[in-house]
Amino acid sequence: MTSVKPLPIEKLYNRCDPLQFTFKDTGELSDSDTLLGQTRAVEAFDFALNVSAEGYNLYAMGIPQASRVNLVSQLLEKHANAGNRPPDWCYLHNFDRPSQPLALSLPSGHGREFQQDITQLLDDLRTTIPAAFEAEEYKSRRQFIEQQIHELQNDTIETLREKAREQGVTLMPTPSGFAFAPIKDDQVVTPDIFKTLTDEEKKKIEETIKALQKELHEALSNFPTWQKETMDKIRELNNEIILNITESLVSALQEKYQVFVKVVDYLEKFQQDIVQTGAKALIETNDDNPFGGDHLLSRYKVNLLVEQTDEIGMPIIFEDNPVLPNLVGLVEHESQMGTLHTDLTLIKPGALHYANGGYLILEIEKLLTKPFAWEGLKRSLSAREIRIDPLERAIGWISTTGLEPEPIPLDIKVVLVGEPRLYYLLTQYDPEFSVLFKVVADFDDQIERNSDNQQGFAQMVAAVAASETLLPCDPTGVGRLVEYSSRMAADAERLSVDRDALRDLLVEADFNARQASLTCIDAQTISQAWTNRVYRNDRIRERMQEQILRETLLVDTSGEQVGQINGLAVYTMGQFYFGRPSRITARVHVGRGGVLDIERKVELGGATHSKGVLILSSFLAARYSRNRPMSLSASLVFEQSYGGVDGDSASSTELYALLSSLAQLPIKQSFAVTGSVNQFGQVQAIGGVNEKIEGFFDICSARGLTGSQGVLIPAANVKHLMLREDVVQAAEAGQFFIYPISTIDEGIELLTGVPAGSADENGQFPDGSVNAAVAAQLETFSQQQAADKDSNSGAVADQSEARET
Amino acid sequence: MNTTLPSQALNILISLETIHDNRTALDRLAELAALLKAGLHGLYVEDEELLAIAELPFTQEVCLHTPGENTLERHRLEQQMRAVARQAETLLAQTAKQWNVEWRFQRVRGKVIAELSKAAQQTHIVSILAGNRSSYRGRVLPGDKADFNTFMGKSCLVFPPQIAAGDEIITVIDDQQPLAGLLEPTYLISGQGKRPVIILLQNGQQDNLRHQIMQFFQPHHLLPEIILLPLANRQQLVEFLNRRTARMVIIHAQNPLLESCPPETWVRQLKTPVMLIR
Repeated sequence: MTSVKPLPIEKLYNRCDPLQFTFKDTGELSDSDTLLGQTRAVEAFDFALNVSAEGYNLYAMGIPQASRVNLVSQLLEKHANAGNRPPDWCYLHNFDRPSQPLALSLPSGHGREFQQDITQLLDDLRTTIPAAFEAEEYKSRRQFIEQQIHELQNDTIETLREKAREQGVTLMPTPSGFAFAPIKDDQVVTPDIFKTLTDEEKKKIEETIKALQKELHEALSNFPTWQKETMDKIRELNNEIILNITESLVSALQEKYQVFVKVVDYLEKFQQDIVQTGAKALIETNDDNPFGGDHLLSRYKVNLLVEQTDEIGMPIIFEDNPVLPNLVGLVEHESQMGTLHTDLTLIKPGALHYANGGYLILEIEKLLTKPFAWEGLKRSLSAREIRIDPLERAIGWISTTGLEPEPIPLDIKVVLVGEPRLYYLLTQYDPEFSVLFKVVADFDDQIERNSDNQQGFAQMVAAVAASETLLPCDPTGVGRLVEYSSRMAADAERLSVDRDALRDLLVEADFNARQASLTCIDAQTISQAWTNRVYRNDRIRERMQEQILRETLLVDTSGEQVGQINGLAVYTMGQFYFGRPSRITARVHVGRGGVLDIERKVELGGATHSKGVLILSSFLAARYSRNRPMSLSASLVFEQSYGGVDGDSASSTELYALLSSLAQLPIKQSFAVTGSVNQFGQVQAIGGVNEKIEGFFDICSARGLTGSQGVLIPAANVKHLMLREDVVQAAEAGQFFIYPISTIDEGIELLTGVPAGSADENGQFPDGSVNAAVAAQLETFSQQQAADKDSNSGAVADQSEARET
Repeated sequence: MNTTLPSQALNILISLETIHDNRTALDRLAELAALLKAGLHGLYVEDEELLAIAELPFTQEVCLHTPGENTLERHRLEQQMRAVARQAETLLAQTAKQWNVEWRFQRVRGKVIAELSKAAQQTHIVSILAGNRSSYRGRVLPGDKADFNTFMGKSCLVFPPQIAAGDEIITVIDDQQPLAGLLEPTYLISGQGKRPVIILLQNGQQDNLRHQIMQFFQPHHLLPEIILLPLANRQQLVEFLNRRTARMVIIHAQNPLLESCPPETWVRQLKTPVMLIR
């Protein structure tokens, strides 16, 4: 008989001894996160950040969602703090090509100073230029110029007037010009008097006036030329005044910024522009006209695009919403009197600008779902410059001319954070990705559970508690967290380092502790948080268990049945997993159909499940029909299963049911079984072992534990056991057992209470063994098949059955 | 003859025919009206003589800004005059509103001098714009002093074609004219002492005058600058004034320095409006 013994209690749950922690609570520990167990990823960061060559950007994967940014920022910080502060960036008006503002870099901190200097310069000009034009000096010089033309005009008119007077004619002003009229005795000759004159007198007057009009016309024709000359002189005077003022102010700034060639050049052109056009704007700054003075002056303003305000180090920027404008910046527009207007002050920076000279963190999922964002990032990284290319223009939504700011050189390390799946997809389908993101930082989600790592885990708990402002954990709380961390890792010998899950559990425990007026989180509050979370998610499991207990779903937990066994399945409800037993049955009869997987036939079984069934078929044939064709038709089914079935964790269970059916030996229904099987009859590890055991335990417990119930698990899964407290207690009380199974023979013996039997040198199994019974049944089927072969009808039936298989 | 400005219900007459050539003058006039709490009376005269010559068969108009000659037609001339009058009225209204003074506008047809003289009878101060163009020389203002005095029975403000910025109120005093008639307007026009007041004693050292001047300003807590400058002729006065940055010059209309010269003639040499007090 089998020598398989139930597992001892200590194998069911790997307890963490709180006494190994020497602190009173985690408040005594440093709150810095040690990035437990992430040596590989940390080294990847160090490597990528220290390599200055192009394309050594990072893809960080495997970091829990909520901890991504903090963790990556933490890794970047030490490099950022050791680095140099990048320069400030400004945009200036381009006097040569107004639609292409110039990018100017200045040492950090100087950008604001330069902006203020230019603002001050404008303010000074705004004050001094109008004042100069109001000053007596200017007015008198201008008046002198104007007086010259006035005198010239007056003299011209007066000379003509005198000449006219001598000829008995006066020059009279009209609303638009002048007209000549005859006078007599210093009085204008009226039409009535004129009629009384002789024809000769009339003719003489007419000729005189005609000649004078011609002279007047010639005299007036000089007026526009004189006017233009006067305007030129006034313009020269204006320019002289403006230049005199501007030169003194600008030269002071040129001297201050003499080491910055671009600034000196800009100021030179600034001065020329002010003289040519800007002074008008400066004089008109109080104008209400939106296109007037202030509007014109906006081009002299300095747009301080990026200002490095941190005292030391390189910037670390996380862009939460990486749409294209938020990445590469944009040129905004303002509506003015129904038209769209823009100027260089409306150039807005993007995350690349802010992070330039430092680090940019982006979440790949968000980046890929934002139109044109991924393309924009790649283009910037490839070109190593930030070009603000408005999306609306790129895709033809707007055709108005706008600004094309000069691209800014890009020196940056981008850290993409995301799932491994996306990393592999991008590697496979986007050739540029591998060129631009050469380094992957693969964060592990589990670490070995040893003493050192448990201490490190306590440190991680302290860091999370500190960052979330939670109560500290006492050693019992940390111990319980270690145990739950193993449960989350589904491995008693490993720890999950999922910070999000740890934080969530701590937050709930903190709530419980505060409700109970505790000063720290202990084991009980951790357990309560865990239990509450399970309870909140447990409704579906409870409904399923209820259906079993009310025998709507048929699952026996006592008695014996031929060809019937309790399998175990794991159900996933979001983040919550639970197990439940499911009846598996097998029927056999003579034929050549082999083993029919009914789940597969109706397309409820997955590929992995079908693989398991084929493997057990192979095992049967190899062990029992090595020398002759196997004449067996069998069917396997998950009873009352209406959803999909996948995985091979039930393949050993199905094999037990088949063997029972072939040997006609009943299986004890007090057992449930899990484990996959290979072609040699070895039982192999499966997933979700804890949930499966607990699922069967819950049914047995609800019906009343009999002391004979238990679960057969693969021996390879023993190290994964982190069972619930009540299961462990039942095992300790001898009411429920966990059996580690290595081979099918061990399992079938336990399930039937009959020895499996080993084959002798002739391949014969001992009488009374399970294997002997199976072999005998298959021999019988084979003989029947041979007898049936003699009749023609048998062949037709077999062919039909074979097609179905 | 009224030698002082009444403190209330003052009217200032302004002839608006050439107002577009000298808007600064209008602005200064409105400022003066505000200081004196006076109202502005704008008068636009449709020149009857001009309309008459439009009926002469050969009269042509030579325009300043457009080439060629136009036949001067009475109908078109009337339209132009009305348009100019409307513009003048608008300008007067805007300026008066800016200085918060009352105003009224009147358009009449007749001989310019006669209509201006008639209107001057109903007012306290007459203002004359010496336009930029020489168009009104010998027409609005009579060509000699005798005519001017006949025409002007009132205090008169004469604006030169070019008006410079300035702050000082300069009052020229001759010992033959009543002192109070000059000091009181000086005080008012200086904004009750807000602008600097310069008193020029053209007869040189005269202690009694100094004393009277100080007595006048003392109650107002003002200390005007008194300049003793014996002036032999009008040209010396012009030179003195052109060296200062005056906002307005106040002088008695019968000051000996102004004899035998129409005011417009010598005011044109200045850059400062001149108030001729009667």
